Amino acid sequence: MRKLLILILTLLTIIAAVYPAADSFSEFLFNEGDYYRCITQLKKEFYRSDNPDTLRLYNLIGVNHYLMGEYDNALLYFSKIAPAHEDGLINMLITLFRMKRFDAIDSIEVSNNTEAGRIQKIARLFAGRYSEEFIPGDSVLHDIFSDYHAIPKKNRLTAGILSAIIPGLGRIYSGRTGDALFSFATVLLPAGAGYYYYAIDNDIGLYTAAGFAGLFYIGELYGAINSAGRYYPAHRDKYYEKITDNYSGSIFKPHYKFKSAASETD
Amino acid sequence: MNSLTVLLLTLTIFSSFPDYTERPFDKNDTMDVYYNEHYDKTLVESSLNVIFLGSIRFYQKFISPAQGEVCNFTPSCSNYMFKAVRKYGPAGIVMGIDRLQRCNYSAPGYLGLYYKDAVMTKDRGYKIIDNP
Repeated sequence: MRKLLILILTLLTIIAAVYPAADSFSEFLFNEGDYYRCITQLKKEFYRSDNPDTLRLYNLIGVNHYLMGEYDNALLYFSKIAPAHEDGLINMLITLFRMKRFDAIDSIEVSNNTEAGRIQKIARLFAGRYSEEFIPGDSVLHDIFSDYHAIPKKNRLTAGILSAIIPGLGRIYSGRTGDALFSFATVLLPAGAGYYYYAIDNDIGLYTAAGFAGLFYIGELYGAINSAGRYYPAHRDKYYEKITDNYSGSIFKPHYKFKSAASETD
Repeated sequence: MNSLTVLLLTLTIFSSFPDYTERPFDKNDTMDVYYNEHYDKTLVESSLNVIFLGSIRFYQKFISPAQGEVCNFTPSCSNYMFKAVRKYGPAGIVMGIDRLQRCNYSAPGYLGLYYKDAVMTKDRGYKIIDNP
C-alpha cells in the first residue's frame, strides 16, 4: 500500500513537470506565434481563476488580437483597461495609430514626457497639428519630425502650367517621369500626324488628328494637376508605413507581461 | 493606304475572338449594378453620355479583342472610362484619357506609392487596382 502511494506521488510529480502550468502555456503559445489559441488559453485562465488578474489578462488578449492584425478587437480590450493600466494605454495608442485614427489619439489625455506622450506627438504630426518649424528636442522624435517636414509639396497650378507649355513636364514635376514620357508621346504623335495632313491638304485627317491631340492634351493637363495633388498624400502615407515598420520594435512595440505581479515577487 | 486601313478595320470588326472580350460588368452582377438611380444620375441627364458609353462598348466588343488582355490595371482602361462616364458624365472621358496615359511600362513601379493594391490574374500576372 505504501509503495503504491509512493508510486502515485512520483507519477504526479512527473506529470506536473512534463505539463507546464497554464500561465506558461499561454506564453509558450504566444512565443510560437499561435495567437488564436493563446487567446483561448488566456480566457480559460480568466474563467478558471477565483481572483483573475483582469488588467493583465485583458491586455494580453488585446496584444494577441493586435499581433493578428485584428485592431478593432484589440482596441475593445485595451479601451476597457486603458485609464488604469499603463501598458494598456500605450497599446491602445499604438492600435489607434495603426488604424490611422490620429484625432482619437489627440483627444486622449496623456502626460508629455512618457512613452504615451511620444506616440501622441507622432500622431499629432500626422494629423497636421504642428507647424513646419516645430521639431522636438527628443532625439528619436527629432529624426521623425525633420524627415516628415522634408517631404516636398507639389503645387497643382505649377504642374498645370508646366504641362500646358510642354506636355509631360507637369508630370515630371510631380515625380512621374514614366507617365510623362508616355503622355508626351500620346500628344506628340497625333499632333505630328495633324501637321502631316495639314502639309498634304487633307482636312479630314487634319481634324481627326487635331481632335485626338486635343483630347490627349486635356487628359495630360488633368493628369499633371491630379498627380501633383496626389504627390504629398502618397509620400506621407509611404512615410507613415516606413515609420510604423522602422519603429515597430521600439516606439510601436506592444507592452505586455505574462507573469503576474504576485508571481514575480514569489 | 486607305484600302489597307478599311481591310484591317473590316477584319477587326468581323473577326471573332471568343477567348477574351472586355465587359464592363461581371457575370454575377445584379440588376442594381446595371442601373443604379444614384450612381447613374449623370447618365440620364444627357444623351451625350449614352453616345460615349456606346462608343466604349463598340471598342470593347470589336476592337479590344484584337489586342487581348494587355492592360496593367483592373478595371481595364476601357472599363475605367466606362465607370467614370457613368459616375461623372463627360468629365469621365478626360479621366479615362488620363488613365490611358498612366497605363504604361512604369505603372508597376508606382505600386505601393500611388497605387495601393494589386491582384494576381491567371493570364497576365499582377494587375494594379485603380478605380475612378
